[in-house]
Amino acid sequence: MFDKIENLYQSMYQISYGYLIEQKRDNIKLIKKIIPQIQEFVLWFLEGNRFEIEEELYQEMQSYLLQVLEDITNAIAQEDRVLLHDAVAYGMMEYLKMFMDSKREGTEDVNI
Amino acid sequence: MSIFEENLKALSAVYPQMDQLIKEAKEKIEPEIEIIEETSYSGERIIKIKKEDRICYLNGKRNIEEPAQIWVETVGHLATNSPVFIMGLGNPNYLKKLVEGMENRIAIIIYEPSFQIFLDFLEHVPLQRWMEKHLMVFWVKGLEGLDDKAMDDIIKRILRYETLRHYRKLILPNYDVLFPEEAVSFLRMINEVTKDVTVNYLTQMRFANVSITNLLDNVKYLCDGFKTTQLVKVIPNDIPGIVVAAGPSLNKNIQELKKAKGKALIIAVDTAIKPLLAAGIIPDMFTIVDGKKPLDLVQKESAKEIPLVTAINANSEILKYHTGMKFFYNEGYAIAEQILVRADWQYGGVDTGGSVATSAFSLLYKIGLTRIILVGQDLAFTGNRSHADGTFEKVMKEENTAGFIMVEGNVEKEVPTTASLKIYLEWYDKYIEDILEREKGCFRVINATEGGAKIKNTEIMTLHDAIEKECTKEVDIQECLGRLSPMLDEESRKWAVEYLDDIPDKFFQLAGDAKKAKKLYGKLDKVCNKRNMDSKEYLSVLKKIEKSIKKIESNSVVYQLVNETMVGQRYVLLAEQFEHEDSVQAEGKEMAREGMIYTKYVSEIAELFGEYMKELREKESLEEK
Repeated sequence: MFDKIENLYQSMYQISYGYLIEQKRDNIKLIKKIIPQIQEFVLWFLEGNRFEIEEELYQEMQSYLLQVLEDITNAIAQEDRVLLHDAVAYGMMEYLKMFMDSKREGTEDVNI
Repeated sequence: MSIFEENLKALSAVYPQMDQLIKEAKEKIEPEIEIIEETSYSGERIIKIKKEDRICYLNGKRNIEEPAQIWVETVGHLATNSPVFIMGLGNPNYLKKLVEGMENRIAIIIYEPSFQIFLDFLEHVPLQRWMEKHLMVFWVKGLEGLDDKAMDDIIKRILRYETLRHYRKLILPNYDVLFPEEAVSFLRMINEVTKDVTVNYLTQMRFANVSITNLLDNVKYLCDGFKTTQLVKVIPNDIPGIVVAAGPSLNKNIQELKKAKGKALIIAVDTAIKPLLAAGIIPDMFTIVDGKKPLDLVQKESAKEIPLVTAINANSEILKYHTGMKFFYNEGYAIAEQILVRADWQYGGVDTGGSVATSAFSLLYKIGLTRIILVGQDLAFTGNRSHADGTFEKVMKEENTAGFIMVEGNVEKEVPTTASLKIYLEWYDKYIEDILEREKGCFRVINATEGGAKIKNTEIMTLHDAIEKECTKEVDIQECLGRLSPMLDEESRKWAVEYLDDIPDKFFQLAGDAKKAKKLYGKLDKVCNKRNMDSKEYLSVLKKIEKSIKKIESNSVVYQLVNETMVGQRYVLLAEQFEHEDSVQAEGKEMAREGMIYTKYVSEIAELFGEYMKELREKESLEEK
């Protein structure tokens, strides 16, 4: 799953880069293409508290992730590029980064 | 005082009456959108817009700063006076970051397609300090006096050739979703102005040298010439005007034109003269604008006496060859204007549109005709030919039009055309649309070309039908024109001759002033080269330079001509003005370098023109004697 998370993060990074740096306005079309991967990640996260995070925090994180997903869905429905970029770059990617960071930390531990 | 009131005060200080206009519009404008306020996750006010069935955010709710911050970083360093065009105020962060991030004073032109969003912005964002730092121009849909036409003029003033490579534009995210038509028109307007600016520059480059020598050669004809505005007095406005251009389709219906003689004002472009005369048709007038059109195109004995409508800088060989009545329009050359204003008649110009046929079309409209028939105005390579037979060659050859731009045709579905012809086609589309709006539909254009590209808002007809339907009243154009006297009376003519005799001295005066200015720039360079620059001396030299430049510019009658000849040099220097130097000393040195080059050219060219005009006047005086 970690590889999938990394791929998803890279795809989102490219889309956000295009939006911010190149002022491209095609993020809706591009995000639509990776909806299955987004759904897979969300389901995986909601399936269980894999990192044994404190339960209350985990509940909050679940609820926030669902909020992000709802924003993505609404943004696509309304063709709202601002909300979509905001939900992807400052919502979903933050989550993905968290798992990538934890993976890196784990790798470092092994190496040590 | 509320933020809104403070903003109105700041705006009206720069744009008088704007506060009043805003207050009036606030009462009148019907809401088209709903502005929904929200609070971002970090507590800032953000808005989303409900328009019809759609709701879109204008700011993100998780991070309201970063998109604007990154955009400003990608804009990078902007030189002084660089123009930035922004569509949308709904997310003020973009403007805020731009205003705060740019050290040099820049020109920010803001287009807001929603008056409601503009009001919301004025209620929440203090503008005064931003307006002190930069030039800010607001263009708001629905605000009186700030329509598309006004904006077109503003963009033209701000977007000059030397600023082209420094300008930036941005449509705020979601504005293209919420206001798609306005976004397209915003971009189109900027693109059209950039295209016009480039075409004008290239045309000036092409004609710079011949244009001024033609003008100096031709200016004497004003003494016995006529103004196009005099035509209004004698041409009845209930007859149609016919513009005969030299497009390839003229071959098809040239013979029909005989039936229109004496029933319309027939004005031919220079290139159509030979085929018309060969077909036994003498047009009522013909027109030239091009400084490089060869004499050969009109070199026919029977063309000499046909009344001519001409630009003052058209090929002087043609004007010399032609012996009939010459009609001039005002093109804004100060040297000619001085004479034109002496004539007891209104001040008038023609919109040239870039080609001889478009200027003929504009002339017919401006003298009050309400029906114009176009003939031979293909604006395309109909049948893969560029012109009608008998123009440049007896029978025009077919050309390879592969790779040409294809446009909708009058007869054929599509016809090949070139980029420059397409510019004229677009000119017609817009010009006719504007006239129809202005005249509230009381204006008709019949395209009787029977081929070529389709011009919007024209009625497509055969020339046979157009003449039968429209040319129903008899008119003797030569009798009408015969009623006119030259624009200058005897006393004004005498004054004009003396004025022209004085022109060489004006050039020599300019050359002398430019030499003095060059010396001052040299002094500035010396001051800036000192290790410890004396700032008092620096400012004193700058003041002298300013005075000296003002003197040069005040000699506008001849300075304008010198300046136009230097298109290339002027561009290089003006473009360099936007480059930033690190210290006052370095800037002073750069200013001195540019100033010395510029004044050197001014003095050299002024001297050359002075000598040229002196010889010309002496020769003319001998000829007169």
